[in-house]
Amino acid sequence: MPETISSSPASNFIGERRKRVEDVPMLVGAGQYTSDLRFSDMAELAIVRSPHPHARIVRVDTSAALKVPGVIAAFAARDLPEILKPFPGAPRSPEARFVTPTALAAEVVRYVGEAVAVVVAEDVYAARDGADAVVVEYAPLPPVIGVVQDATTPVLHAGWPSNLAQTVQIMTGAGADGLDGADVIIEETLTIGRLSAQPMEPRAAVAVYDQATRQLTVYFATQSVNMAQRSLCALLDLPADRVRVIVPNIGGAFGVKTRLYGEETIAACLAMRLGRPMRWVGDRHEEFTVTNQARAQVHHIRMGLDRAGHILAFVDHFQQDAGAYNITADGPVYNTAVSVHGPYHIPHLAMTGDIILTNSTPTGPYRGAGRPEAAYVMERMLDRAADRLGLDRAEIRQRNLIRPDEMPYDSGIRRQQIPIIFDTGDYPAGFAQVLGAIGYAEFRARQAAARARGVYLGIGVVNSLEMSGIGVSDSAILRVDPAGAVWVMAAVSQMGQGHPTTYAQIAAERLGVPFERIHVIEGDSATGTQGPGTFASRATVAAGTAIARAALQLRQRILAEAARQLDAPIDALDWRGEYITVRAAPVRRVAYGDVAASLGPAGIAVEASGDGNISFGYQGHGVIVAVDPDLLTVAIEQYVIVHDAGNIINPLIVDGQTIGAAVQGLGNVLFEEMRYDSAGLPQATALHRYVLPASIDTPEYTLIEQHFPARANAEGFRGVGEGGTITSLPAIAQAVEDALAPFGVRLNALPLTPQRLFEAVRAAQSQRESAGGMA
Amino acid sequence: MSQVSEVPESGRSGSTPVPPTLTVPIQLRVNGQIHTIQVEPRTTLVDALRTHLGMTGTKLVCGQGACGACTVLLDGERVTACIILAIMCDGREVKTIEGLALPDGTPHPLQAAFVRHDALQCGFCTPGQIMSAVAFLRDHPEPTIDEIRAGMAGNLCRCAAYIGIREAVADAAKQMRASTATSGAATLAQDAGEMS
Ligand code: FES
Ligand code: FES
Repeated sequence: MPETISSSPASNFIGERRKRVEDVPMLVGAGQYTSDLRFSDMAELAIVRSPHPHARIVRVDTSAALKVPGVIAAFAARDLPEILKPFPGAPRSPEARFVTPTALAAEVVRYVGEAVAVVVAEDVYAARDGADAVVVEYAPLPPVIGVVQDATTPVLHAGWPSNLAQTVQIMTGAGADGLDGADVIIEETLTIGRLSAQPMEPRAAVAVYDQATRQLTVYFATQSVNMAQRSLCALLDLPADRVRVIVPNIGGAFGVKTRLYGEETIAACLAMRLGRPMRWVGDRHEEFTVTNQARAQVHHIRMGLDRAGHILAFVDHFQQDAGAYNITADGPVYNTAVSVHGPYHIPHLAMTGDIILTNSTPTGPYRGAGRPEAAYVMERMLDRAADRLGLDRAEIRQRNLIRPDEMPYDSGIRRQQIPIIFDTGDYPAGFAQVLGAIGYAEFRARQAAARARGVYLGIGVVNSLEMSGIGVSDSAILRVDPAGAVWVMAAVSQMGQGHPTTYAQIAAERLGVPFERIHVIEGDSATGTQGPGTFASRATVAAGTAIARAALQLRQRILAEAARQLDAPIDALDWRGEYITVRAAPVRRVAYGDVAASLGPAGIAVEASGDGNISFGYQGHGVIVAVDPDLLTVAIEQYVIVHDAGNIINPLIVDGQTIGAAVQGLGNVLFEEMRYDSAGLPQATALHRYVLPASIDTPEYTLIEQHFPARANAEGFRGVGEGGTITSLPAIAQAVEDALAPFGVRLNALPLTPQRLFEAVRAAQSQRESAGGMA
Repeated sequence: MSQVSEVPESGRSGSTPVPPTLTVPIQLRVNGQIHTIQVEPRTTLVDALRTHLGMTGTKLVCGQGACGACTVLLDGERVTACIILAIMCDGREVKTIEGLALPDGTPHPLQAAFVRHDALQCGFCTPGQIMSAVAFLRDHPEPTIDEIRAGMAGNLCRCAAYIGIREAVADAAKQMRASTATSGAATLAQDAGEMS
């Protein structure tokens, strides 16, 4: 329940389907993204990158680059000793081995795309010519590809006994011993392929150093403005008050712009060294090879059930391909380990996640960050269990779902000491809505009729939970200035989630002022607000609740002063729009801006902390697909999403986030794969080799909302940005497998590209033939 | 006679000498205004717009003609400006997102419809989507949703605001038909309200 105070505002902004205030600049070409920024005398950077997955750097010769017209300077690692420190970061477990890269590799390169040298020039073309002219001599080393490794596998980092960086363990009940009581044990290996997030905006950075004030300002699209600022201070050895990070518009991020990369540091260092603004703008190839990749997990599962299909134990030993450095790899692994449980009763759980290094681009959080993998694993195992036990796939889910009378439900899981408690919801009701809306009861007849016409329909019905927040709270500052403008500041960034609109709605509602008076400032390390940033579906929960609380406190302070000025008790006052009036005598009134002015020359400001507690929102998907039996392409015929977004602030934005996430999931399942060949070379480095869903692939979605306000925070908010991705992986996979059931295929590995479906159909065929031959 | 000036060689490799590169003056008519700029033959249209003219509304995403983010109209036809050389546009008419609204600021019906239908999230693909839709609607003034799905398939949106985009395009088509049928004043006034 929201905190109640007297004279609560009569406005109704929370819950309003309101058009976004931030759209207009972007629609007329005036939206300012990092690569749009220009400063006078600005120089451009181009990076020289390793074409080898694993090699010793023998020699870097930048002399030819310096002869290229327009080139100003060129640097190898040895020339920039001031930034040759490993990126800041710490393992979350003391036993973990933890290795982060340096901004430029000095001795060994460990993935294709790792930065080796940088060229500074007057324009981008000259910078790239210069980069091409840099001569780097490499002595190739054997590449390590894939997580299946043994004692003969080369070790990437000196002093490590193997490439195993860390093992994450989560256990509840009797763990693996829980399998002992099972009637059936199902064993399966499930694979989730490697992905690339591919935001439309390539990463970029602009650094400006003011010699006179010795202030460094770095502009770039980071989801974690405060963490970025702290890391830059550490890498550049500068005190906090000399470094400011400003986040321009972000052209999509999806998790991969959470960590700091090398280019921001290089640009900052060179801006200081050369005394000119520096800009680096990555290209699509760099977006494919340098920016964090994701997923890349292999699971070996044993699931124990009783004959009636109740889950007794879930035991999963999985491997995360972390890439060459485990800078952010443990986040998704923890998420997977704690999220596999999902909305079901799991008396005994044993999750073991190995983080293993390979010669590939580092992996880390991407939309869902370990949770899509978890949902995929649990739901596909339920499919296998249903098939083995002769149960309907929906029925087995109904038998295992946690009931509303069990809420709040303690899963027994602890994520770094934080208990995983499902706060509120009605999962069986949600699932029933999925089944009803997708037409589950009638589907088998429809499927049979379609098959008679040569059309292969399949259905998928699954459940998941969207974990929002990570248990850390944020602060927000609200200031009412003497003119009555309200300034809302928070430590998050937005890349399309609509914060300028939703945060203004929260502030307008809780403060009681007109929406138009509110200005949201985020993505600036100088706001002084606290919080780690926008990720893990946490921005609305952690910063949104801080804004609400600050607004309530500010309202109270202003009303108290107005009461004094109007000589009336607070509960005799009305605050509507610009004026605070005495209800019984409306002529006695004062403008809230004037009250703020009377409290200080800059008005009045309040800082408050939000509730970072984790909350869990139900999400169920029902999907019907048609698979072309010849081309093995998949078309979505019907798609239903039931989701519990708690107290919704702006349904327009929530719908957009939910569907956008689901379409990304659709691409993740059907099209997208970052493959490396056996020599360690990335096989998808351009958009025509890494297919993203387009308009033509995007179905219409039916959205059904549940409304269970989260109990984990005062406003009942939940995050919504990731549930669509998390849940669509198992839903579509189940449906495609169902469509291809006549071929006897079992689809254990994502993605389900036509090529892979073709291989699966052929494998099933030859298995049948050899079985037939033996009979 | 156009003037050709020589700049020193711009090498693609440290060892092999490369013939000198030229810059040439070209004339671009962008959103009705004539600009004369000096570009290298390899300068792409998107770089000419963004770097030489400082018009950053057109976005560069893939540089390979694969995403549609850099779509502009060249003599009225939609092209991906990242794979067109600026010199190929000498003397031609380029229309970009910056020139779409009326001079008095009245937005194009597509711009207003994008707000109404939540057709953008991060906004990075949006200029390309809108320019693409302008050309699409000129050729398909009464499109079905399926025609929009196919006709806009070349414009990727990683935020996947596709449903909103389709609705916005369909809605704008309706508004544009209405405004050509009537004087258009009412519709445009409404659009101006949407954008304000
Ligand atoms: S940037 Fe031109 S098509 Fe992608
Ligand atoms: S709105 Fe973000 S890519 Fe389209």
